[in-house]
Amino acid sequence: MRPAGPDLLVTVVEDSDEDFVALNRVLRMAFPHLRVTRYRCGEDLLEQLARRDERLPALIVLDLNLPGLDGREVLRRLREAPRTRHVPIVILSTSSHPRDVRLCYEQGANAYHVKAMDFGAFREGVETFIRYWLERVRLPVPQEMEQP
Amino acid sequence: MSERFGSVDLTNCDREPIHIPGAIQPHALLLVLTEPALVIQQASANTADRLGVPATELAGRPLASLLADADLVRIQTDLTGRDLDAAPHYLPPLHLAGCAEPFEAVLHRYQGALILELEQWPGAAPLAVEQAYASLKATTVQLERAGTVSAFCQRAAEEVRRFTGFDRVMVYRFDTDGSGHILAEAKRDDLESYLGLHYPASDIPKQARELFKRSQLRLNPDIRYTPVPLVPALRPDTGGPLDMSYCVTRAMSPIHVEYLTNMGIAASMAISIVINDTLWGLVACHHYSPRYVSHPARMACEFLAQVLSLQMARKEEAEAREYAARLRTCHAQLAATMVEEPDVHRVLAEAPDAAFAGIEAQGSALLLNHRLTTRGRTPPEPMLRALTDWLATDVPEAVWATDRLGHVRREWADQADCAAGVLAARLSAQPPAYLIWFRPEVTQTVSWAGDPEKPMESGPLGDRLTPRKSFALWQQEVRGRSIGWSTVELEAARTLRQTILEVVVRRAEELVRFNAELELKNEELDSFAYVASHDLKEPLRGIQNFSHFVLEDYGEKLDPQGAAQLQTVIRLTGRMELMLDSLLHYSRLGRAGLRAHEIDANDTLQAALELIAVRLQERGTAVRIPRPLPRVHADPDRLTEVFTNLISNAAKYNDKSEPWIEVGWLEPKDEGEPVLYVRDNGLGIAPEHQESVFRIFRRLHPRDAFGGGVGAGLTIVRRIIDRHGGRIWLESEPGRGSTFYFSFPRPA
Repeated sequence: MRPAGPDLLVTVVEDSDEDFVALNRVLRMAFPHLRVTRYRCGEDLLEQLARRDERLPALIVLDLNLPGLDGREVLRRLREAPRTRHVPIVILSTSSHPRDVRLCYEQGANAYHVKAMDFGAFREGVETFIRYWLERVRLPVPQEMEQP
Repeated sequence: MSERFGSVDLTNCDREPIHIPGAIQPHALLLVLTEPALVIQQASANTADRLGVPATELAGRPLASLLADADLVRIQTDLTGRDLDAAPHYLPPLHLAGCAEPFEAVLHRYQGALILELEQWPGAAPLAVEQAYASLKATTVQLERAGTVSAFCQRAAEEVRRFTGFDRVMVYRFDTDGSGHILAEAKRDDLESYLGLHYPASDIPKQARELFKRSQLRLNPDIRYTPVPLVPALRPDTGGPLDMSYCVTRAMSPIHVEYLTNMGIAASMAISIVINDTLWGLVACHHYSPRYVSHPARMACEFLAQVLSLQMARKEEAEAREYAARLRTCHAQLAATMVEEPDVHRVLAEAPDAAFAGIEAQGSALLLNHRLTTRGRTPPEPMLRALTDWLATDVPEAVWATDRLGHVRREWADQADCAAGVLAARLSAQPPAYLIWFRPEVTQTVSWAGDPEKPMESGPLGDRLTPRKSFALWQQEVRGRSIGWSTVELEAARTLRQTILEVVVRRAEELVRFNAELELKNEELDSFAYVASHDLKEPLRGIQNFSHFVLEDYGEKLDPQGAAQLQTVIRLTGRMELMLDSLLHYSRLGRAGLRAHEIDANDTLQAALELIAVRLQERGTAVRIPRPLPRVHADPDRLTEVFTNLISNAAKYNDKSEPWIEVGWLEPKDEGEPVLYVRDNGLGIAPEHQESVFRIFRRLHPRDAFGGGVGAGLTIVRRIIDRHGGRIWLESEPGRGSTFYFSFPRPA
């Protein structure tokens, strides 16, 4: 297991300041070395990641209920773009609607988390998926750094 | 005579060539003349007796040799001035050479032959023209005043009897099938009445009816005669027999003679009533001794028959129009009621008409949406169902009628007392839906004035061909037959059918539209509930999170009371979340497709019990299942939810030391569904709360008593059962326990 180090970048797309504060609180406390970038809307994220010199995050945490471009559409476009196709995406949404869940997996989401109302449960959920995606699994390295 | 007609009996009299008898009655002379020379071609064989010249000698001689010049000129004038074709024309009395007494003459032309008939009757008392005119004038005025067709005919019969002095004068009405009945009668008081008597079509065969249609009047002053043949027998110009269709003095058919003889009749006269080229009826006159009717009296009778024809046409049209108008009014009222009242059954059952839509029938029935409504006399329900099934499969016409159902379907012949006649209008073939009218067989509605108990009279020629025999034969022929259905009645049935179909279709369209609107509303409600609960959750989560942050970050700065208050905030947000989740779930139930099919309710019950096993164990609740549950038609996931909610409620609201729950079912009644139930020995529900327990967030107990909960479980249960089209109700006694019953309908 590799501890989530300072070189790892997590990008969060979340329009609610309060929800971001809660998420960021969990991240800061459990993974102090993690770099966290936040976007308030999907358009900003897509624009930023489209730039070749922009560093790709190790994980994208995506809310569904976003102003402007809907989270589901952001997911679709991230999966469509060759540059971000392989980046793990965890959906973190209030919605527990089966239709939303199914659609996100169909569009290539790697995990779907419902934002728990209880903070304890919320914390546990976030810690679990960060640990899993950033510490447990092996992720693809950028192509230019790929070595046989 | 018999060799002239060949052998004719009752079976072949329909083919008897009565228009070419080749003979006349002995009281008359007949001359066939050429035009314009007026040379005699044929003459009746009795010229030797009456004029002293044998018929054989008359052939080839000019008519001028028999007539005075003045009479000849008049005939010549008539030939050019009048239309004599197929229309006998009365001439003033003629004196013929060789005979002192004048002849009453009638002249007509047919098929190129000019036919002069000359009649002579000793002691005939001619009706004075003035007398005839005055009488006719009075009669026509009285006829105008007669209300109904039969009253009208009665007057006419009386007048004809007055003009002619016949013992019996009857107005005989033909039905469409050629049979007929006596509509009016004027007679000598001592004679038996024939009023109401019905005759089979064979009594007046087809070609006789055809002849009646052509010639307006026929007279047989004495039926006991020897016919006088024509000489030569065949027309010299054509070589064929002389067509005597329009001859007044034509020799009678032997069958007719037999018929009259059997009735004891010595003289007869018939005047045709033709309306719109159809033989409507006859004025039939009988006398029990020989009787001659002079030309002026005949003219008066013919004129009366003309008036009768014209008036009758008007009267019958008026009666038909009146009936049609009445049918239209009835229909308009029904149609107007149907706009307001959605139930067609009620509209027809409560309408004032004796039978549906005012159609003259003894009974009517409506089968629609598997429901049966009847009025008046109809066959019993099983027969009605069988009839509609048969109509649906075997009768392609949308509107169909018969006046003899028992002939169409043998097995229904025994229904003739109420359903010999059937008029049916289809509303739907599958499932069968029909409007039907019924009429009983005619013999059940007809009687005649003659005494039916009186033994059959035998005439001198045997017992066939008597009125009683005729009536019996007619009864036999019309057995199982009803009065026929008229065009206006078929039309009325068709119109009512159309109106009902339009109403039904309009209703169905409305239903489709309402359903679409409702679906839209449900969808809106679902998305509203979804969005609302989603959007409400975000700030709620914020409240809870930040309360946590305060407790985590500043916990040591808060005193215990402040910390407890923050804990309360957190608890309340948790509760609100539960409520939002319930709302969300409730709204989804409205839309999520039901996957209802035949399932074993035992499986779903087990699934539910596993889900709540821990809770049941905690309280030590016993679950009894007296016998395996039946199969039901339901969505298994939803039924599991119903069981879960009902059982956990039953466990929750129980204060007994030995709580128990029983899950069982009741046998279906009739063809219904089994009723499942969940029973407990718990708190019970007071009667006044038994309905409100199903309302969302409605609680009967303090919030934290009995383990809390938001109060949506029963609401969700009811919605699930509603969605299945099922029913849920409860029986409960406070302190003793509750039973929730529910059932799911099976698809049709």
